[in-house]
Amino acid sequence: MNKSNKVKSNLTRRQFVGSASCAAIGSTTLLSSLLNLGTSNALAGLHSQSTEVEGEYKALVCILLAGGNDSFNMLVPNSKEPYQEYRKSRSNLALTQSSLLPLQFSDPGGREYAVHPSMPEVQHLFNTHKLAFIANVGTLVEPVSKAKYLAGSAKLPIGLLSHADQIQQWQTSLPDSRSAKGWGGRIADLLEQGNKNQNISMNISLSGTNVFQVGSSATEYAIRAAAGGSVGIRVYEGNSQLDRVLRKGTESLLAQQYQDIFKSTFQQKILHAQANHGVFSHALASVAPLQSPFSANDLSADLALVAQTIAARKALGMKRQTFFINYGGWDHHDSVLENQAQMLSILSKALQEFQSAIDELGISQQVTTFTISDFGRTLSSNGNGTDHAWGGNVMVMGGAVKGGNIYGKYPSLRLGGSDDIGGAILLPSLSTDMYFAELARWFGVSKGDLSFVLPNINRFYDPRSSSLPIGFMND
Amino acid sequence: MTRSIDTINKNAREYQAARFLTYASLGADYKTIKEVARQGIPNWLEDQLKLPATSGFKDTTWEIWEHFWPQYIKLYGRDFIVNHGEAVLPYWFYWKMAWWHNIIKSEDHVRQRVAQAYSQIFVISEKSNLQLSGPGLADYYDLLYTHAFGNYKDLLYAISLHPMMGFYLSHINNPKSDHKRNIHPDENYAREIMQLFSIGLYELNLDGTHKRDAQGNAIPTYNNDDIKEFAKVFTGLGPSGYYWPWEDYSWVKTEWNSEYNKTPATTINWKPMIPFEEWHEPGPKKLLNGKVIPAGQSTLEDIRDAIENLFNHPNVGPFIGHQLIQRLVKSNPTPAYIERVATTFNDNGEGIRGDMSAVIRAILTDPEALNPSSSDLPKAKKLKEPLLRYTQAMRAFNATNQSGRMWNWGYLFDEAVSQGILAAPSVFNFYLPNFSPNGPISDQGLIAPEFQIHTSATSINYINLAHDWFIKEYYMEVATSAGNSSHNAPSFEEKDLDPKDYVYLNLNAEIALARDPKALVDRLDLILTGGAFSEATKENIIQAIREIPGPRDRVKAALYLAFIAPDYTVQQ
Repeated sequence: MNKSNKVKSNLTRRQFVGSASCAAIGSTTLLSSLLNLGTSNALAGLHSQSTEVEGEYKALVCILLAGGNDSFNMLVPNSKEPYQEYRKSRSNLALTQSSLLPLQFSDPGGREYAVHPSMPEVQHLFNTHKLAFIANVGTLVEPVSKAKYLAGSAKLPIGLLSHADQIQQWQTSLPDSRSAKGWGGRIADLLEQGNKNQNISMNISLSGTNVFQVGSSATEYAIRAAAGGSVGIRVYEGNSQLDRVLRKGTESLLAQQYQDIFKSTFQQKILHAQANHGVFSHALASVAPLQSPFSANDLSADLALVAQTIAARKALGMKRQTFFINYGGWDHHDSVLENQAQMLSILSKALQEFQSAIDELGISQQVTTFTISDFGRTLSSNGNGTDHAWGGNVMVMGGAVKGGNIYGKYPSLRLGGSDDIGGAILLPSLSTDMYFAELARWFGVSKGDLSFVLPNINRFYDPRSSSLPIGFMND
Repeated sequence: MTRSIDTINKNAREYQAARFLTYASLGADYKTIKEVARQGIPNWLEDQLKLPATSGFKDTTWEIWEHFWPQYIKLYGRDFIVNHGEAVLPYWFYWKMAWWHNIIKSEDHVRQRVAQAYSQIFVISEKSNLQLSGPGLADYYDLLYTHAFGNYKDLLYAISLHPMMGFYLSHINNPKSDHKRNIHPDENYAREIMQLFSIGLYELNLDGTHKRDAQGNAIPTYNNDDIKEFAKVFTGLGPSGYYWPWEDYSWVKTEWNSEYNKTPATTINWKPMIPFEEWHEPGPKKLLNGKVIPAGQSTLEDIRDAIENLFNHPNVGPFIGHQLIQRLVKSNPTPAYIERVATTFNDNGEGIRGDMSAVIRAILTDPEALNPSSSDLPKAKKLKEPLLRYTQAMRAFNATNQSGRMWNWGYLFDEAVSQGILAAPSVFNFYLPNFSPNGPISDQGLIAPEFQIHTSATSINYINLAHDWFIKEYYMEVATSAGNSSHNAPSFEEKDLDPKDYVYLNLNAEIALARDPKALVDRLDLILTGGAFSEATKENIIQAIREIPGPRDRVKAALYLAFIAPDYTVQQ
């Protein structure tokens, strides 16, 4: 068996564990994703030393705005008529036009846009082409027109408009099933073996367990900004007689064979975490702290730790990493104006701070940050808040992003208009699959593997196509 | 001979009682275990189900607030407290302190345990603007606590009118439709009362499995149009009055849309919301299963009808029953177990639907709960929640202090393991009921919700917490004095801590056994798990503690190791 075959069978075995949806994967396509990591280096890395190639490192940073960001008050039409429509639909929740921060961009129809007044940093990132918006993205099982929707003949996402399902589907991109495996996890199933360090997960979470980063074999490695990174068992670090005894006792309990799978799962998580803590904390300590300042809030603290972890990528032995941050509290059924303004301000600052830190590292081409959220919210008001809806606007940021642009089709905000399917809910014009496929391609997933990472992608896009799904990333 | 057989039987009864108490209480000491063994589980449980609700969490919260606010005034001056700085209010942490204070020595074991389980189904959380009202949080918990053995319908009605739920799921201040201004009723509560608090997303069989249509698909219980109809029901509710600690607002008549209505900081959050009929959606409302609310009813009549409609939906028994089994006993109940519980929900034997004392009895005494060696796999029942490990550690060994003020803030614990009382990150609780961690559990198609908060960070933090407790003897964050560090919170600065508040455990019985490590470990195994420690686990703890000379240190080390052992954290 030559080396390539060995790799292939390894991958195949790992991927098929507990998964029935992999039939479409050809063995050659699996390899091609690995090859995208840097040709033979990636393969060699599996079984022998590989040299780190700086240009190869890439990171995807996912910020989940949990709760459903009211993103039609984040990205607002700024031309006369569209703004009037916006104002009418949003009623008492409409932002005044004079307060909006205009973007240097107009769409093919000559329409202009602006961002929420509390997002001057995002305005600046956009105008300096480091950030783009993608308009009206949502969970879609298949392409759906308003007519088809109204006729009741469209296949629709499970649990449309409900948090639990929609938040999950934005992480799985599988709105027609209740899957607990995310597309970041499937990417890791494919690419994780390209990392020199096989012990620390490619997928690092600042917010504990999540769906996005769990694949068939991949799972997240959780670190904590409050702890300054990873945490280790305290008695292992002490030197007293008591510490030594407790350490021995702890180790012996954790070394036992447990038949019971609940116990072994409990045990394995601890063992894995402790083993990685040594490597992780050592790697982080080996690099100088970044100079870029971060604000004192949880989101900024999380992003600061992400930046510091990226700074330690070589010491960690990482070529590919995903990061996951859950910044929750966007379910603004109530007081949306006050609360969202406050949170968008934190988000906007944090994005700017993080981008500065990545710029400081000199690898802005290699780190792409993107936002997801459960859904957009109803255009109309429930008095002083908005309810669950469907399509929404997202942000993507980084040196590889063709910024200063709004991709996709910004919808009509007229109630009863072409995009309102009733109840002031907007039908998405782009599926999450299209959004994520472009990120996945940039990250190194081959054309052939795209349908492994995003099993529904063929319904929206031909993975063999020579053009990118949306076009917001540099080729 | 007779005598030794008696001893064996007594021991067996103690083990059985102890194991029962691991899931039927927030943790029990040896005295309680002996009492349950003496009475027998059924008799003891009947007594428990008859015990009245006595420990008012709201009352204790107010008492703690009364203890603190004069201190702020004394330190900072009334003028500053009332007119300057960040508002000094009875915040969430007074309630947190009250919870620990009340549960730590409570004897109504089952009611306390059930209230804690309810708090993870009918979720509100301090991690929101609810943090502004400790008495509101406490009163909501009182509601769960007092309704623990009542009728589910009354519980659901009371929850729906509680202002803290109103703020959490935003049906307080929810106006009727205003078509001219494109304003529609808030759908938040309408959705979650169905999805989470009563019937769930899909039509269920009595045994909790999904009903299927002709194509084999699960059948949704409701659609978005139904939500819109229920949203109309929950309009027109406002606060019953205003509250500000520094001025008497009790005489002010509440108005719809007053600025004071908008935050839990200024409203009375310990009395049900009241209707403002002119803001309630008029007209008929379509409920589920073809029921229609006629036009012209009052707000409260509409809400009663909607609750009645949900209450009578056949899903409630299996849906709520399943979740209660998960919270109390095991993650993967068999369909037969769910069916037995749901059947009891539907009829308590006397023709009454929704009798929760009967449902709780059915859950706790089901053969699948009582029998540790049940043949169904996995043998493990569930991962014990971190919070229940903590309460058990404190209750099993009679945590106490000289001042009698067990006012535990519980903040460090929450930070470390992502759990606390009424502290979930969202209405979806700390973990989803269908969460399954990657690996053998999900490979076997099983679920294990509690593993959602067992991460590479929290799993290690928990071990270090056990170290804080048993080795450093730092059991609780208790502070009873204000200080100069903050004008609106208790001080944790060394100089402000009162030695009389220092919490300690009563380990005398364990220390007496310390020179016999095997006897010591056997006792911990009995008290903490009812005999779930394997020989290997016992041996490993014994080997380790043999090396420690002092009896007290030996006990401390044994406790630390026992609490991190997988044989302890996973319930059988």
